[in-house]
Amino acid sequence: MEQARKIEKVYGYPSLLADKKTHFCPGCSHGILSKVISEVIAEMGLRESAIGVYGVGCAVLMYDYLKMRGAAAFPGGAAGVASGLKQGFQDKLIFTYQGEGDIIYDVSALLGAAMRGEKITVICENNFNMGISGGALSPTTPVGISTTSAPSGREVMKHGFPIRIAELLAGMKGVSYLARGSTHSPGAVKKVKSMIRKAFTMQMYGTGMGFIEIIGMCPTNMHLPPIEAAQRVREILEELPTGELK
Amino acid sequence: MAYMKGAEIIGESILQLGVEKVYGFPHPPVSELHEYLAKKEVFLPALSLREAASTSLGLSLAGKRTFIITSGTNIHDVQEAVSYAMSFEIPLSIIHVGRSLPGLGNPYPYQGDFDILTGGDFPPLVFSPASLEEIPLLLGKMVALAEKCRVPSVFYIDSALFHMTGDIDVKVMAEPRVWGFADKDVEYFTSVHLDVAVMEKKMFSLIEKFNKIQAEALCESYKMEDAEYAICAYGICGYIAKNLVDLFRASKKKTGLLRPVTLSPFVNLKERMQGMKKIFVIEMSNGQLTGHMKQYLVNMEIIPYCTYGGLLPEQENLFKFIEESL
Repeated sequence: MEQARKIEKVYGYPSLLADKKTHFCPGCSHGILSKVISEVIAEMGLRESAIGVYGVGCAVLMYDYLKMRGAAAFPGGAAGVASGLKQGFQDKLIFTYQGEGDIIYDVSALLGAAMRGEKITVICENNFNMGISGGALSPTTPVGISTTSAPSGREVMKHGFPIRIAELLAGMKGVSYLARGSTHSPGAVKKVKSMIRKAFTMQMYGTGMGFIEIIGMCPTNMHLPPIEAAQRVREILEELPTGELK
Repeated sequence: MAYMKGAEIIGESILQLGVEKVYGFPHPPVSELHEYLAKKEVFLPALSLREAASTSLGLSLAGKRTFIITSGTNIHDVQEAVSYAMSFEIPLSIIHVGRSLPGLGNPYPYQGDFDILTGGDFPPLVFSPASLEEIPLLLGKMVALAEKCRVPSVFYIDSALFHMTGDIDVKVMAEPRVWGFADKDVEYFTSVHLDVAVMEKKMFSLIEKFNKIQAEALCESYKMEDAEYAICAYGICGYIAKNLVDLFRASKKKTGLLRPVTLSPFVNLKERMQGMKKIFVIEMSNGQLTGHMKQYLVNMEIIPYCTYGGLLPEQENLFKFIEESL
């Protein structure tokens, strides 16, 4: 007698990711991360509890792709809005999703949340340029990298040194989880997923603030095909430590 | 009854309104209000007023009452949050203390933010008290209206009233309502509408709401029934002007006072000022209220009396000034 085949679904379209065309460019890390965040929240069964706060820039329409409650904050204000939301909803999962340009626009919101140890998770996608502004120099653009507002590349004497966002928070006692991940390879994305899961878990257990900086690709503004953009990110990462910093 | 400062009356009113958290950044002259709230475990430190504005926006999104406390040019730090609250259609209340401008200026009384607070397509509600007794009453009314209409609101008080003391019985109430994520029907809040038709629809809906809000304008009309000369003033200037009306009435001059209690929405001036021979405007700014009135009362004689630099208008000087012009 022929043995009955057992068919088990092992992978599918994430249930919390809207099945629609996004405005993200091909190869953009925002697309990857919207999928990763939606997967983590679905796997943790936190859909009803989650509220995302999205910064300005390419991330501003994230509420339209993640099928959960969300709010769009004003420039730099997402961590503050998330802090207020958490004070109002202490049992909910409150996270922000912001680009590096947005987060640096007003670090007082980020540092204030870190100072008070607000029980929120801040996810910062750092793709080294202001994507929605057509690829302008961002506070984190590495030295030598060309952007629309620094066409000959970042020069230290002219544009200053790039800011390392995760390191800004390293000395702050209110931050209980600090990590830097990347999206340049499937393995790196897997690590990012576990970082997000850990930060969300720690938030739900009531430890302090969690911050994850995720290095992303912006092939359009890097003027590179997605695979080469990923290679460029890999090169940049040689000077930026990844993994759990705290 | 308790002997309290304006700042303490505001603090006590905030507590009675059920506010549990207020984020703020201490600076003169508002630190006394922070201190009052801190004693009651309600105050939380922010690193800037911009941060306080974002955390307050978050609290309001969670359906919680809160206040942002600003003075002088700090109002600019919170205007982005006000604009977002307007777009999200949630209440967001601000206590704004008028201090002398421009720049840091000084902590003495001034009313130089009238145009900033009441300008633009969709200004917040702006309430302005003229006495200590009025503070709890108007604060409760403002919060109730802001929550009913789901719009931001500003309690605009000059620093003289903020520091004045008196025996006051503070009793404030505002019916609780549901908004923000506490309203289970709302999935997300955004101000981004890339589809022009959607944005236009949103604007039309806000315009309709604002037209309705016009009917909520409040003013105090004192001895205006048979007045030939009107004095128009708000805040502490309105308090000073009321005594002035009595002085003129004692010398058989038919004067009356129109004191706008809400600066936004503003009372219908054409209706109220009909038939006046002259209108005197008393304000602590470079004619901002006067300019506003001139837009609506084109053919009427409007005479401003302005003080600057933190000086209150003095009754004796005002009396002389108006008497010479009658």
